Amino acid sequence: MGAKVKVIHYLNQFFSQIGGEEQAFTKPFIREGAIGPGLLLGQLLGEDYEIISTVVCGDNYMADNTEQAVQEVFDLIADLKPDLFIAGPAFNAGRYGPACGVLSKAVGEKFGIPAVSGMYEENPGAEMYRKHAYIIKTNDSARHMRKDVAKMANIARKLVENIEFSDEDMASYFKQGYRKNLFVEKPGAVRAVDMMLQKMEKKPFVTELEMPKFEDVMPSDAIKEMKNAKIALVTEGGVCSLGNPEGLVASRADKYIEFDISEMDRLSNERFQVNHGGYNNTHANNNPNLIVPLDLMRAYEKEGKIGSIHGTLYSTSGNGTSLANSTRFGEEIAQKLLNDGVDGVVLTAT
Amino acid sequence: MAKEIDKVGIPVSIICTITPIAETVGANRIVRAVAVPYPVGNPTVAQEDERAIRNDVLQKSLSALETQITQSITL
Amino acid sequence: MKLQMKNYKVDDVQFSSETLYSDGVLSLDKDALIKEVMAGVEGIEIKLSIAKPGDKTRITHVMDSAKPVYKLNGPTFPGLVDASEKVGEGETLTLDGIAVVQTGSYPGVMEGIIDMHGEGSKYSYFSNTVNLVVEMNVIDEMSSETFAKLSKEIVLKTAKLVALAACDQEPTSVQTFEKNQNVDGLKKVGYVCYMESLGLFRNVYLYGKDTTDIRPKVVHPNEIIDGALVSGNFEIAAHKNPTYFHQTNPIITELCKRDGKELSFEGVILSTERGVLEIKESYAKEIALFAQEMNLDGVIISKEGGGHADADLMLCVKELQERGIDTVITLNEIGGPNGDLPPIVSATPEADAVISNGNNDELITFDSVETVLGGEMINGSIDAKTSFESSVGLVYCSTNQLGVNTMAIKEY
Repeated sequence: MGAKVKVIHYLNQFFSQIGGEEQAFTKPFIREGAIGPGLLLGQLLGEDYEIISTVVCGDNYMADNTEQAVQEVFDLIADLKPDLFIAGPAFNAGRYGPACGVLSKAVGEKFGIPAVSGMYEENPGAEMYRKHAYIIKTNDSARHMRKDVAKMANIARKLVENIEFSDEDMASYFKQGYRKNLFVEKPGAVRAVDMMLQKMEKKPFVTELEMPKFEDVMPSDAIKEMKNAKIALVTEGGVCSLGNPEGLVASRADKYIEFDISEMDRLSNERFQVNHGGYNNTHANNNPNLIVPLDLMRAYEKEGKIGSIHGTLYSTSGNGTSLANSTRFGEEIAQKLLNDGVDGVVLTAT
Repeated sequence: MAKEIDKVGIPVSIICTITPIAETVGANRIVRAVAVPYPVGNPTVAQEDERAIRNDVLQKSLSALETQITQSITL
Repeated sequence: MKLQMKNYKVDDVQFSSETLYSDGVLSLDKDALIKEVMAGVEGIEIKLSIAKPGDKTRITHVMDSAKPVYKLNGPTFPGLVDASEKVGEGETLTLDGIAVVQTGSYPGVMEGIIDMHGEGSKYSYFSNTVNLVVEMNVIDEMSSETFAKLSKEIVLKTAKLVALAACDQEPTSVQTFEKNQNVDGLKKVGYVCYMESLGLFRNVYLYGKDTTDIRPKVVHPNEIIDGALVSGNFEIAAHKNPTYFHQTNPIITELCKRDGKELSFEGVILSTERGVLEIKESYAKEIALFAQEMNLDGVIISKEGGGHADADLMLCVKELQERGIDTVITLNEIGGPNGDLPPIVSATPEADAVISNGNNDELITFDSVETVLGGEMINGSIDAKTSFESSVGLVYCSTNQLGVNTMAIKEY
């Protein structure tokens, strides 16, 4: 066998027994060995595992200074080279939950180790962090702590030892949102009719896809003086050079193209075309300005309505583009625009 | 892509036809385009009418950039 | 309306000196068939090959697939092969276990493959049919409209002529499609079939007419099963509904199967997915009004394509649910290679009953093959003979949204 698996355990002020609300502003500190629930955890993990240290932080300090607090925790544990990180369980504690969540995510990512926590389903930390760590479903209080900690220990062990999860294991933690294809007995059409009957007869059924909630981004501040603003043009309408030498595919695009439009008054159909499988390209090929209105924007620039047009046009094809790619393109383009002092963007989608 | 640009603090007007999609994915300044194959224009109508339509869509998108908002708008 | 489908089971297909069907084996006189199919067709050449399940063969550049069918007392593929007259009644003969698969190359026609063996063969319905592959080669310059028209003619004529071989034989089985009148106390269910009809290379033909400008309409399910609906969609492989699946629409066949037993199948509402939001909204309302007139308790809705088509689905669900009509929708997902990104681009909370036919973006490793039909390069960049990694969405009809396959999704 060899050395024991090194575990770091995280607790808040209450479970570490240093006090109640009055200790909620405590900065992160570290103690050797296990404390409080950690003793139970150590026992349930078994003799091949050792809780070498326990990190403690007050819930308010963590909530109000998250970034700093996380860094402080990193500094405390870096030299210990942990193999596993366990936080909580936080049950239904509204600040403790997110604290366990943010640390599980941060420590797991930074040190490349499995990170496990435990929360009640209504704990906001569960929804916030279930995708970023393994958050075991617990009761809403410490009443059944032994059962809850046992489930956490089970998942933690299987992660460290690379043991496949059983169906029961999978049901023990909040879904992380990975959807994988599999083959089942009935074709989709038959499942559709089955579900139709169940729904009409008010019998319980399980939808195969829950409507997703998209992340909302706080809108950026408005442009105060449009007449001095530098506006960039971006498109996912599939604008490319005539003949498509850039090889922009019409669907599931894997790249974006940058065009120098600083000397152009409009997009000429002798220089540009479009390649986007999601719409009839005829009109756009005839007049690419229908997709990217450079001609109009230049007119506004001359009239002084806008300050200037950014010299680079960014183009990709948005047909069936995976969200991973469009996010990546967006991030890269966003950085470039930021570096180039662009004040606003007109983005055309088809 | 609009969201990632908005995230770094640069306001984005997204001109698109199927605005429910932009609304669902959380874009903030959404402007209704004319139609899928020709978001900023309408080659099926007379030139003067088309010029007016194009100006309308583009002015709206610039207006959106000048409008301070706290939640998503669709023009 | 009473339709009798005479099914002829095909276990094997071979080229021979004469065309005949006997004991489950279909023999085809290749040269005679080509000559007849191509009579009057100029500018394109075709090659015929047979690809069987288990062959180390990959078919690329797949455009459409059709089920061999011949109407005994009426038009086969009305409006495209034979005269445009109403279908859905009488006798039609069809061959089971065989598909006519058409391949071709033209700017705007998108890639799609069918593997007859290996990992990729788990993902296409057509990995399990004996395929008569019609490889088209354009030899004269022609407009895209002409190419679309001739492509249709070629694949459909082939499907008809092949079925003719079984003409005077006894069918393996006969299936009757007729509305059951004994439906007291059974819930009324309708089916809304959205079609991606946006113009060139993304079109659906109803009695031979391009449906780009039609309004939602009620049709009898028998008409769709009997060849009235044909695909002209040469778009994303996993997103299009080929002619074969219009002829064998699994939602229609399942609803017909249960008609009079667990439910009353009241009919089909066809609609297109338009490119203008206001029209999408108005069509959704019209569909809901039809559903109300038909006194439906529930509606199953399918779509074709992705992206904007999601909006049609959601708008339709909202209109129906607001009128107290239950809905179930069937779709596929684009959740990224790890399946952790938003799977669809439009959502509405009322869509609480969803069937998912799989994630297009999941990556699989395709095996190497010995024979390639269709074209040597996939997407212009991958050698079609080799083993390579790509997404499930590259496979023809892998996550088909009519629910043809047994693929589903599990969340972790």
